[in-house]
Amino acid sequence: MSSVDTIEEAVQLKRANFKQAAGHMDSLTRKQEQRETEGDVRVENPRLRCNDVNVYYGEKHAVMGVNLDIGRNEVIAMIGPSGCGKSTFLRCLNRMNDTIVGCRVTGQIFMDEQDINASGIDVVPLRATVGMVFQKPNPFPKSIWENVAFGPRIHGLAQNKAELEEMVVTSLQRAGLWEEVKDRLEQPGTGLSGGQQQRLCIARTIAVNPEVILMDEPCSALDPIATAVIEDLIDELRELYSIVIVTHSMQQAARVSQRTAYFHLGNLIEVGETTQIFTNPVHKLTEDYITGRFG
Amino acid sequence: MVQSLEGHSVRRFDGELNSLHTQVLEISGLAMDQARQALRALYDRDLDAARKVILRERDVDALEVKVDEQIVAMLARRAPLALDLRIIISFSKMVTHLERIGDEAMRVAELCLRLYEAGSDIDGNALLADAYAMGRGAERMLSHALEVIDTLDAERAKELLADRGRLQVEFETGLRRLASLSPGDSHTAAQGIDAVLIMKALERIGDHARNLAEYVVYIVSGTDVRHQQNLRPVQEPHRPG
Amino acid sequence: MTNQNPRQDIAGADVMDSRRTFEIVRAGMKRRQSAEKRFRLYGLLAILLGLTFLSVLFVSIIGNGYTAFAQTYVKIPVYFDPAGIDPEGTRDPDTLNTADYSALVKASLREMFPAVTERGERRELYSIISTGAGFELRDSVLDDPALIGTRQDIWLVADDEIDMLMKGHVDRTVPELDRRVKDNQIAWVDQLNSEGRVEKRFNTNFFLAGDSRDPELAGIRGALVGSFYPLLLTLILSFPIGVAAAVYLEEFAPRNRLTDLIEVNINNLAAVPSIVFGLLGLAVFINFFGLPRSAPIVGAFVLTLMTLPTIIIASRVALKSVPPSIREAALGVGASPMQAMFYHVLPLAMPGMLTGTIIGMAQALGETAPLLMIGMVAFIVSIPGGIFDPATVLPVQIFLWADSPERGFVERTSAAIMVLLAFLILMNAIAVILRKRFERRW
Repeated sequence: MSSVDTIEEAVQLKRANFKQAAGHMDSLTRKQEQRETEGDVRVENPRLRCNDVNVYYGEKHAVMGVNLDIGRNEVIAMIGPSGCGKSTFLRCLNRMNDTIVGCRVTGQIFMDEQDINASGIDVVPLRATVGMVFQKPNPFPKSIWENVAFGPRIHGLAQNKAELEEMVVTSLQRAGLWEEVKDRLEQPGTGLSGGQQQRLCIARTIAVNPEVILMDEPCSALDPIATAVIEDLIDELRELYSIVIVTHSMQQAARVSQRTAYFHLGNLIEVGETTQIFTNPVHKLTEDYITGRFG
Repeated sequence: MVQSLEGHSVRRFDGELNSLHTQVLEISGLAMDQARQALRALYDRDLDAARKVILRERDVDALEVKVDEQIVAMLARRAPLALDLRIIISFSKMVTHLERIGDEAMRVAELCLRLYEAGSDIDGNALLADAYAMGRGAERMLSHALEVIDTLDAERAKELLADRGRLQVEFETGLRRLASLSPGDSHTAAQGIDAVLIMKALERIGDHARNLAEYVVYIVSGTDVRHQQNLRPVQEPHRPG
Repeated sequence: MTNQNPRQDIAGADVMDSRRTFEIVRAGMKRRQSAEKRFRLYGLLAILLGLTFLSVLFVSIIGNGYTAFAQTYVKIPVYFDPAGIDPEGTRDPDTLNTADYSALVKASLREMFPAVTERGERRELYSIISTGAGFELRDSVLDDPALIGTRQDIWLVADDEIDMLMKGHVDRTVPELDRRVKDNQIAWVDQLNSEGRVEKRFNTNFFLAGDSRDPELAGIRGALVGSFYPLLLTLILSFPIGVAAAVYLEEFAPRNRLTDLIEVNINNLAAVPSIVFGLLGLAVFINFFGLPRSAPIVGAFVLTLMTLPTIIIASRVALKSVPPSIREAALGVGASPMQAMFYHVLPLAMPGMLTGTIIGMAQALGETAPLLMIGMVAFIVSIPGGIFDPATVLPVQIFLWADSPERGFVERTSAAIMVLLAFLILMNAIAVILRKRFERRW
């Protein structure tokens, strides 16, 4: 049943997919409009509170009026089809969108009563507080030690060499990488395996002791075992940090997160407890997406 | 074909869900027929029908095993979520209930055999009047449940759930009436017990039918309506684990 | 699956069914393979052609030039006549300096060939030895005044015509009138040769002397030093300016019409003929700022202008090739754009930038045209002592020698080309090694 038995079936499947893709294109070019979000976007005592966040790429309205709280010590997963704005929204949270030419962000994102989008806010302390782990493991082509020490060094977090060393070791331990690399801290970080590289990137991020960690599809370039290690790590890191993770794997979102947010065409369609989203989503679009009925 | 089973990007999944639904319907049909045959044995003293029910019980079991295997395969392969997850989990449970319905039908058939083979002279009206009534009730509920399974119509399912406890009431009245008949008048004590057991089995069939409807409600709305007579209505959606 | 034959739905399904792809492909394979072979052959031919021309060039240059690394010397017994050099016996350096040493050479030659008495013949005899022999003797006397009054056998540089004769470039069968070496001279040289007084030695002069009108005295040291100063200065000026411009344009400049315009212009400048830069240098640095003509500093400015576009373009490419993920990673932990630049991007781009710079430098080393415009084409005998002294550069020296009529300059031109090529190959090799050494993979 599982494999494609005959050419006829393959052809049929292909045509079906083609139609699907065409339908998908249709839905992308359709005029986009802002929608109400299903579910409770607010939590008590949030780490980050987003009010009416909009992102424009030139003429394109990529994120529309998103209201969302990021709680303390929670993992919140962002899911949705490609181009739905989830990554863009994620990058608003530490203003990485600033680096993109033609990108404009409106609305407020409060962190401890301070709007990080307000004029006069420097992105450097913000990014030290809201760290980011990227889709492709991107260690600096320097030694493992240098990779982790970079953040504390540029921010002047360590008073002396011993403190810096402690920070590096602690970060590597928290990232679950210490045992694997303690004998080769001087070797280049790019020589590690993909999963180790990604954990090195996580160690580099937590070395500056952030409060929020943003993860943009952190496992999409990894094999299932490396993915499992990272997911386990995310679960442990939750005790210390708030984690926002964008993922295309719904199983991953279901496994690691406490809350899940579904984005669709720039709208935050639904937010809720992860188990509720994955067993009984309220919004039809959420249901269609997570059951694979998109298009 | 039911709307909620279709529309996946993976067309094959639509096919698999539909085929699963069809097989659930097939078991339902078989269970229904088993119940009908058993009731025919009860009403008409048709011993052949009773024997046929006992023989066919194996088919129900085999079908159940087959459907369960498919469900496990689909869980492993498709990792269904949300509606799909509810559909597949519910189908799995429904199949169990349908198999139990088959069991109960067989029990009725066995009891009929024992009853009618031992004493062909029993006074059916006196001894089994309540069982007849309950049989009609159970049959009605079962066919209602089957329709609900076929259409996955939550509203119809709720209608079925609304007529809660009718069989139970009839069962209790039946018990009381049987107790009031003195043994020896028209039946032996053993016959009395058989009659009670038949009523009990029919009551169980009704319960299972209601359970089936509950799963249909769960599939469609995602809310668990089981055991609501025991629990306060829950606002929050059902959360396994 | 209600359709009995779903393949019928597809347009052209009948066409697809009728023949097997395998058969069709196999039928066409021969044509494909021969096309592929042909294509490979063309490529091979092109490369062979290139190699042929290259080897012709090398063979002709080396064949012409290798003899220039040897020089004919003639051993002559010289009597350092105190009466001629230092009649008062003061050993005063000024006196020693101004004495007529070529007279000593002439006297020695007269002694060796007493049969030669006629004036014209004597002139021919004297011209066996280079006119520079006198300076050679002067230098040895200045070094060691004790020589005065002694008689020494001294190896003196032969005249270029005799050098050519000894190297076999003079055809003895040609009528005497048509050659510059006369029969008399040939006879004398043969006599000297049979006495073991003629020898070919390594031509140190070629590397140690400046330019000269006499091929046997001409060397490339002046040109080498003259090339070195502008090149060093060009490097000092163009590398930081070029890298800074590239970094700013690539990483920090806003994208607008102005920066687009600048970008287009930089690309255009890289394609501007170099002589135009020479004209610019002449107009701006010499005429407007009044810097000296023929000076390395002006050459350096002009070459800087010329190499900047190359360096900027190469540096921007190097910066572009650093994956954005590195920048994002640095920014993601809170580095400022400048920190991200200097800690991570620049070190990664540096090999590419250095490669571009070295290639630019090699280009500058080989450049002639703009330097002609600023007067570095002058005949300069002295070795330049600084960036303001008049100088000429190696390619210009080659140009000058190639223009000279003397037979002796032909081999020297080729030899100078060999030296220039050696430097160019060396610089390019350094570029290749740098790239190989520091190239990183992500």
